[in-house]
Amino acid sequence: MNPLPGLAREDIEGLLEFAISGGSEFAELFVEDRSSFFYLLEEGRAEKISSGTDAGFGIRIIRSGSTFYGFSNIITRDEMMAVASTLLEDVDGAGGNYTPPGEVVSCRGEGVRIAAEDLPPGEKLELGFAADREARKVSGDIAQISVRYGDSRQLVRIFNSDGAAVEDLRRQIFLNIRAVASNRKGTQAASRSIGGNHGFEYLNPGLAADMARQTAESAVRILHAPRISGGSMPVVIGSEAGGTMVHEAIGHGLEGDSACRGQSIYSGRVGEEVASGLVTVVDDSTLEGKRGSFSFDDEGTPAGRTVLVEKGILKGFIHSRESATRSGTVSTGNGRRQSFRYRPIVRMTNTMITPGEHDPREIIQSVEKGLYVKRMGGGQVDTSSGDFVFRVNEGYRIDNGRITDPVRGATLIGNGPSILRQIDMVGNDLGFDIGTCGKDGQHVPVSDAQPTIRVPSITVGGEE
Amino acid sequence: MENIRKLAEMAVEEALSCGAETAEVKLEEDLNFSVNVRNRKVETLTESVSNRIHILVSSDQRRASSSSSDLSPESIKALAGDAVNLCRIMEQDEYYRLPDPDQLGTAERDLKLYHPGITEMPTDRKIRIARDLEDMALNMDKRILIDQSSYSSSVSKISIANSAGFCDSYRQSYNSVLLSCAAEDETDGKNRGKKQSAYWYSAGTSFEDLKPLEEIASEAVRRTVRKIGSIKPKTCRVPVVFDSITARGFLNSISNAVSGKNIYRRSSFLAGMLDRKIAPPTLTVIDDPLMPGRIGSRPFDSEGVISRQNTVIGEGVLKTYLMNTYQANKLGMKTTGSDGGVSNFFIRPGTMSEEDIISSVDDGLYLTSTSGQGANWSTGDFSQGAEGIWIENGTLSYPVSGFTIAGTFSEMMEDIEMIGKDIEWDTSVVSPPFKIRKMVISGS
Repeated sequence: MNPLPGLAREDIEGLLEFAISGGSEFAELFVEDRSSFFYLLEEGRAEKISSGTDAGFGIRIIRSGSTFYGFSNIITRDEMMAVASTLLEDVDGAGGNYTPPGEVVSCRGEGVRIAAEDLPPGEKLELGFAADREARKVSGDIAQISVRYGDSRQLVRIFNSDGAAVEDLRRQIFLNIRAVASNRKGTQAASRSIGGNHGFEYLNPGLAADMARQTAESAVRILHAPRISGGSMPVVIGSEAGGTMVHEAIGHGLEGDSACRGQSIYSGRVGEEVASGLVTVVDDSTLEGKRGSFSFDDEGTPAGRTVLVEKGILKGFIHSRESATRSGTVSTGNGRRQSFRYRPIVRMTNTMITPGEHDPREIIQSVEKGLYVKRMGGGQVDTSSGDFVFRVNEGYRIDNGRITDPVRGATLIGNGPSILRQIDMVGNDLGFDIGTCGKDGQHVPVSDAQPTIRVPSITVGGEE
Repeated sequence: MENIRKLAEMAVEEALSCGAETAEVKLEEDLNFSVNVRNRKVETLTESVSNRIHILVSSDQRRASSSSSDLSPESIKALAGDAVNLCRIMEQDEYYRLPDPDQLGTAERDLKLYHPGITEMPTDRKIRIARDLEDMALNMDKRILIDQSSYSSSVSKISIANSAGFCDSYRQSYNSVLLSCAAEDETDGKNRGKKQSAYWYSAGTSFEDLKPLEEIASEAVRRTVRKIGSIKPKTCRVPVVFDSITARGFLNSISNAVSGKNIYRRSSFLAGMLDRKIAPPTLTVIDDPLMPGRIGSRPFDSEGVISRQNTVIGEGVLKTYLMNTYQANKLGMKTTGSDGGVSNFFIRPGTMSEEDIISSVDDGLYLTSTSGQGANWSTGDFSQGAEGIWIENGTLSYPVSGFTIAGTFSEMMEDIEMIGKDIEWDTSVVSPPFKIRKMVISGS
């Protein structure tokens, strides 16, 4: 098989050999071809519709531990040689091994039945219309429904001086519904998203309508809810809330790049107890069809499942090649990039707290007075301290072991490591949520998951 | 420059020949450089060339867009065809029109946006800047660890063309230095083993705009070490002084709240508030694309509408929203030349120094950082994780963290009491420090 249209195998070998000449430790060529389609439907009309393509290559050279990266849109042998030459001007050093790339190992998304790129845009719009109609039936308070749909096809090819030659075809599809409810007293919004590495068979108008109804009902419930009064209280986070908490409060601290620089609260603590014995944390890019899944990461390392915390004990970190080299270990297949415009860095894929033994109902019954978090909103965490703040998009009071009235405006404020140690009940359920994770200016698709969990005391921000 | 202008013009012609009634094209070519140093060694260095073309076409009041990184004539032709095909499935939208011809144009003032020194500077000098910055910080305080010491620069060429006859381009340079530090917090109690971190930076359209490295290093170090030993404050209602960073964050939300898009969608707390008094007379907010040498300046917006200064809030009264042609049509108003977002959006400086503002507070918060996504300009609710320094008897006393501050944007605007005199012009949204009379702090 010809590794790249218009480029001969000799060209790629010649480029890598040139890039590693004069003493680099590692050289890599990453080539990407992406096409995407997106629409935004508002008030029942297609408000925005667009299609796009993006293609280019990136060359990475590592020398004496320093990374040099260059990229361009123009995929020709001459342009590649020119970019490599510019990067070599910036470096000095000596010594490097070169293994020519082997046969290309190819994964071309075999699980997909209906490739979204083959469908007419009109069929995709039907999802949005179905969602819009259903959501409007919910209540007269619904002021606005917006539906976002997107699909993309990304083909990446990776060749490096260690002999790797892989290609991976990834398809992403997502549907997001946002409902705004409004009355004389104010405005509140709710939102739901689904998506993953799937073909168009994953979505259908019936599913979109169900999702829209639930979203609209949430928005109306929050609109009529009183503001929560703040303070410290027991909090039960339902599995429907997805894993924003595990992603933000622990996941970022377990990324090998910040860990090996001593920037993470978990640096140098493998083998120590960092969480309650009920907590096991895993990052798994091999799960079929999830938004953070792939066959090879963006450095050509096969996808993997990494146990980060097992029954409360820190087992290790997720790594890219670079962070693994610095830490004296091997990549866990977590080197990812937004596109050829970026060098790969350590990223999560599908990150979760694994299910425990409690019945979720039993967990709620155990709380006399507290907060039940049904849907989590956005959050932020300071990786060096583990301090976090999360918005609760949909929350309810728990009174005498029962979920009662909805509340709005709650935020959870705390410290990831200390919350992890406090978790004292873990449900036997598991709920996923999808997202796009930003780090160092790069955005990649991820999913997060968690069972229903109980934390005996969290500071809840709200009204005085 | 001539080249990208020609390509943009050609794309408009292609779209029309594919059957579009109107066409708008934006073409961008970027050259980027960045270097990040750690332990005196280059950690990462990136150099790149990046192109993008975006075509928006309409036919029978139906519109669609397509974009690509490939600027070859064949690709542009295909792209124009794609957009025209997508149009057909769109609903008609009577609000979409090109700007009126008399609104199109290029500001005559020399905006001094391009400084060739940035591209001419040799790579080893750029690396040395990042290295020197790291050295300075490490020598200032033994407790300091460096997270990032970097220099980056870019040159962009932007060309806008449309079928109403506009076609022009401009060049813009940008560079910045950033130092991000951390320090172990060895204070007894809850902070043990925790790291405190902070950053400082400087940016501008020319190298000469950058602050002295010594100043950036000492500010980053100062902001980091002063957080050591922070405690959770008591829940209370007190005056809050926003520093230049958190003031900018607040103003950023205001810039979203006045954006025409959020107004016509009624997802802004300022929808329907035009000509109403929303703040004290000391508050004036301006969006000015015509300031020479500033980061947000531009001779025309992304639709080719000539740039002009807009007073958004004039002496406490909401004077205008910031709109492009489509948003203005939706609202029955006229474009403000704001397609592509705000330009230089700022609070007009007052007369007080930051020290004066702080010394007016007996018991309150000096806010240095906010986190979370609880600044909701759509509903007007404001609830954010916060860090800062507690003010006692007019002086900065001890660091605080692990709490939230909450209120509503409307109340906060009405309660702005004192506006500082100093602005750092290092992003497109900038603000002097100010004080808000009272806010709710949820701590212990």
